[in-house]
Amino acid sequence: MLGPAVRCCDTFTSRASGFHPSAALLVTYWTALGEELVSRLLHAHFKDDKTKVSGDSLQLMAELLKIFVVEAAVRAVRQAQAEDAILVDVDQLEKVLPQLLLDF
Amino acid sequence: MEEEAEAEEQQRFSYQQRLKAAVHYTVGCLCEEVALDKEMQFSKQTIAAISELTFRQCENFAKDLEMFARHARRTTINTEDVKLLARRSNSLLKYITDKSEEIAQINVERKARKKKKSEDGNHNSRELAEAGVVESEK
Repeated sequence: MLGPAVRCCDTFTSRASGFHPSAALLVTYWTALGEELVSRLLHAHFKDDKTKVSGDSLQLMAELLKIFVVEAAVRAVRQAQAEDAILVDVDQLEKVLPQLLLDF
Repeated sequence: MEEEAEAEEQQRFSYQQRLKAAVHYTVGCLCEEVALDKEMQFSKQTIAAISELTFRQCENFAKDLEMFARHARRTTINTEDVKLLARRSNSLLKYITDKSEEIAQINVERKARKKKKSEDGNHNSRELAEAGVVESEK
């Protein structure tokens, strides 16, 4: 898995090279849903500048977001399998979306 | 100055675009793992949809976390706030609670190791300084 991930990294960072350096950082710090990225995602939506996130909860949030993505993907796959579809398309995702959002 | 406000707006927009792009990349990697495991391909639109979904869900999470912490009269979000986020599904709550204990345990061990290292380091610091060795821990 490291191989293709590293290759993806190269193409992504070369696309991002026109941007601010932190974009490359967002990619290279990826582990599951990397803590650097999670931290930036959360801080981007805080209303108060003083709000901070503890280290433990940042790691926990990274886990939660990873589960969210994987749940969405796996449920969509199960739907596609139930429909005997050859690939997972937006139609399948739409069907599992309501329950997914209720569970989160 | 309208130009300044516009430039700031542009910067904020492009920062958001970069965040979305990073999420999209990460979601793509996670979905790739699922696809390999389940032997099922995802369409590009599905990956894009999940990544858009994740980004929006992040916004909800962030706002909720901030509110929970404020409700408890804190400015720092802690693991209790995160566990509150996971309350809607019992299995999710259990998973997150278990994970939080695991993370706490790992961090306690890490701190203990660091403390022991710094205590040993204090004994050897003069020797290290003479040898010109700098030790850095990741």
